[in-house]
Amino acid sequence: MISVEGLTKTFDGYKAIDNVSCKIPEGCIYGMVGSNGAGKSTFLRILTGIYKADAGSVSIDGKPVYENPDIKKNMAFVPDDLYFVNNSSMNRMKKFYAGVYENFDRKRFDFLCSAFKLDPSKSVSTFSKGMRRQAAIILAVSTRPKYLFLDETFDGLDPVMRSLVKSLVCKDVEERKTTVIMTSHSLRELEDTCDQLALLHKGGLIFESDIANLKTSLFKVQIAFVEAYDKSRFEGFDMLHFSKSGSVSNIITRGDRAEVEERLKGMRPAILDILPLSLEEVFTYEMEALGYVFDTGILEKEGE
Amino acid sequence: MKNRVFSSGLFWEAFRQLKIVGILGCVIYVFLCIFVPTGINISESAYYVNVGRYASDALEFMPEEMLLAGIFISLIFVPVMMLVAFQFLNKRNSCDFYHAIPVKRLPMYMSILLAVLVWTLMMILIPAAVLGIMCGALPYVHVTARSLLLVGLNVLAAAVFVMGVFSIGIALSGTLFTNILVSLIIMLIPRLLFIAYMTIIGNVAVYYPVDGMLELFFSKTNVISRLIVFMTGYEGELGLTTVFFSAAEGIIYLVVGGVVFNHRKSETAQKPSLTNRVQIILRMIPAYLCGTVGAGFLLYYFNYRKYYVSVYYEKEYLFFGIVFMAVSILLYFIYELLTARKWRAVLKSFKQLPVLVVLVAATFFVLKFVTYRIEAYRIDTDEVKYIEIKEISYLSEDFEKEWDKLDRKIYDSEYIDKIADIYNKQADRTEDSYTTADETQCEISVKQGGAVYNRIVYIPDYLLSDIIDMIDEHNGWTAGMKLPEYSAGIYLDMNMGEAELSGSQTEQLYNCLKREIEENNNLMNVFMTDWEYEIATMYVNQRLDLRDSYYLTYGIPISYKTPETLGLLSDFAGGGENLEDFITAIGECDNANGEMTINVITKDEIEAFWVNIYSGDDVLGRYAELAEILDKYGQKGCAAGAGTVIMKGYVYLEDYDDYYLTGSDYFYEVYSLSDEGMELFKEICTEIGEYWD
Repeated sequence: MISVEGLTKTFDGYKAIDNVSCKIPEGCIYGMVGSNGAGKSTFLRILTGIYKADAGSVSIDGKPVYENPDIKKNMAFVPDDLYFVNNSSMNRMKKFYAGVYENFDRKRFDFLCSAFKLDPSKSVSTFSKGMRRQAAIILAVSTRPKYLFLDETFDGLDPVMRSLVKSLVCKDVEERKTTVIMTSHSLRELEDTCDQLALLHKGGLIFESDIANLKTSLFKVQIAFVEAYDKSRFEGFDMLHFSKSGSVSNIITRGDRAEVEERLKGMRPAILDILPLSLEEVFTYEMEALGYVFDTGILEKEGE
Repeated sequence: MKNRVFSSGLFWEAFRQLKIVGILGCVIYVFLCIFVPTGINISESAYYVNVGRYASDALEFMPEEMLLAGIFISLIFVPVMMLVAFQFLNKRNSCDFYHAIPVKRLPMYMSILLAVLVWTLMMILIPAAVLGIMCGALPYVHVTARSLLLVGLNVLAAAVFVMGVFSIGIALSGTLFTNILVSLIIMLIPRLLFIAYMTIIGNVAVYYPVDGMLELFFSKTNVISRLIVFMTGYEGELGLTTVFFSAAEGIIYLVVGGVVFNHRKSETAQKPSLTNRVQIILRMIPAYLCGTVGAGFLLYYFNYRKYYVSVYYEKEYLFFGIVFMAVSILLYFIYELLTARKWRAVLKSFKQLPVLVVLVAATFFVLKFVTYRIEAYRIDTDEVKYIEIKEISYLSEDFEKEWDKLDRKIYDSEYIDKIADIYNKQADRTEDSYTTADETQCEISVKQGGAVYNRIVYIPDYLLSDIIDMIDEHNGWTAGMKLPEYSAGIYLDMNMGEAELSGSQTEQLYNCLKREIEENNNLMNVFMTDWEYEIATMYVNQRLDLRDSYYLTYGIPISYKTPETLGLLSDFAGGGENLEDFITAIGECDNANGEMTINVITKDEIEAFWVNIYSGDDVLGRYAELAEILDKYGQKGCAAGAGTVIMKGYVYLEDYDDYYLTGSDYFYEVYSLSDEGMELFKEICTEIGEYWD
């Protein structure tokens, strides 16, 4: 299990991670979302022992990670900005990995190279962006990690490869109880893959929740009344968003769906529809509630 | 223990990454090991081909030449290998990658460092084997296992030193440019600062000896600075001392580098330095050095104003002082601009500028205080326990080693009083600080009270001669300083002209010199012959053991102090010619030029004259008069002593400086003269010659 307590990391006075605490259970696929610069990559780098936290602690299986090869040998990290030795091929990288990861599985490496149709003797520098990511994922999973950290997991991968990578990850989780921590801006992908989701914003952990809970605890309400009304009519609801067009209002609210529905019906609306939200909508509205909102209309003013 | 202190996987990875540089280094050094001895073989064999004695004696291969070649490894390939091996530290993605793998920082550092070291060793050992084979195959060049070992150890020590320097430089910074810059700062600045401090002290406190310390610092404690000194023409010695100190310094740097690496954060990549504080210190260092030089010039300025108000260049010192101060501030900002590449960073660095100003000002006052204390010292004879003559300026470099072995302490109160009196007058500036013809610069150590004071004092020759005799007697020279038996390593330099002696003549001459010195117990005295009286020099090459110098050359002057040897030399080298023939030879040519030195020895003094003589000289007749005087009042072939003149001369064609005439092109003569003849002879010498002094 990964246990994070009061984690804080500062770069030149800027708090990239601010007092984050969480627990990631074993065998779980833990997704992390957040705006650009929210601290996801920094968080992963602290979890993998690359960065040392300024305050707080990270422990994996009860042991600290930083400068701890015993823990690191069971971990593999695929960062957003990939690294391969200059002019190296995957075979060359295999030697590197095999030299430092004692669990490196050469057979699995060879198998995955053929499964992903990558030529291991070709220089990685000739690979496309997606192929490089595939190569990095193959190398990482060939170390047979107990903990797999994937930053911007599906960046550059085509839909077929995304599916293949998802299957590969899920297989490891299923067969070897691998714990996977992944970040992605593709909420659709995370929605399909993850058991748990965490939202980071400005270095802080806004929430973490099971995917199922998350989707049921936040929902969209379309409501209209015969008489005139405004936002104040919904005081007492945990609203993330309110917009009104004519007499119909769109409300994003949090809470127990049955309870909310009961209360709204009690207000005798002319129209009442309660709709589920996609994960992307959940993310957008949660971020909006935190003030992370950009008016797309501003782009229309360009050139005026 | 696996991966605790060393990671074999990482070692092999680093080894693979260094393959191209490593192989290139090996190939280049192997080429040098083939071509350098081949070149030496060609040039030396061509030069000595007509001299049987040399031809039969294969020339010793000078390790310095190979050490110069080895500098490629130390100064080019080791830094390149270090930069390649640790290049991952300069990019975020690579740095993160390395810090994510299950290897702790220290074993990572050790493993990569070992890969660099193994390639360096291969660059030394493979070419060394090639060099051994080459020297075995070449007829005029040979190399001993000892020389190879010394070169190898020196190159290795230099490599370890450079590795150490770069290990800190790379660990402290986060870009390729700053890696190199910081490494250069670490390598050069402490040395440059030391030079600056010593030079300032030595120039302000003129009687404080700093040359010895500078020499120790450069020639004996570091292979690279030793090589720089060698390249500037100073022969010096190549031994294990430089190996020890360079390697020790390198190992200390490697340890410091390891500590810094261990604490280095992954996020340092692409930043100019480890932390803001480190950046402040780094930009301060070059600026401080420059400021110190400026402070030195200001110190000279105030010092010259104090003692030499009339010296016209005092204002130059003030000007240079101000210029260096300004450059110091400029350097401070330039460093920040070049490394941080942000104008905002330059503006922010203004905050620490007062620290630089305070540091330079503090240095000025500390140096002022130190030089004041040095200058304020006077020898208090009541408290002096002894005075030791540590160095005498005209002692040859090689002979200084022998001098250093002696007990040179003076306890005699009479001599202590005299030296104290001379020094104290010097320090009071009541006497000129520069040596005159009759004084010799000596470095002394004064044991006064509980302290030892090193100072420079200009001792009159008559007094120094007495002191040397006393030391000579005290140490029993001949017992400890017998000349070695004749060997092939002994040769004669005639100093002037091209008189060639056969091997047997050289041997006879050497044996005569050895016997004469031992009989008269005056080796030290002979060594201390002023160069203007040297007619020839007998060089004795002596091989010492590994702990000491690899090669030692004594230059023993042949002069009036060794009259028998001089006589023998005259017989061997004189070629039957005399002054008359010599002048005739010049007169018969249109473009001949000649030089002649004449030592005139009377019972009271010895004078040295130097004469330039050329065809068509108006006073050619005056030289002929000299010959007539010798003919009339003199007797040729006697031993040098009171009432004798010693002459040597050579003539060459003016258009071809190196082309000597044959036949009467040189002569060596010793004549005894009657008092009357001596009077006339000196009169003409004074008229046509120039005093050496």
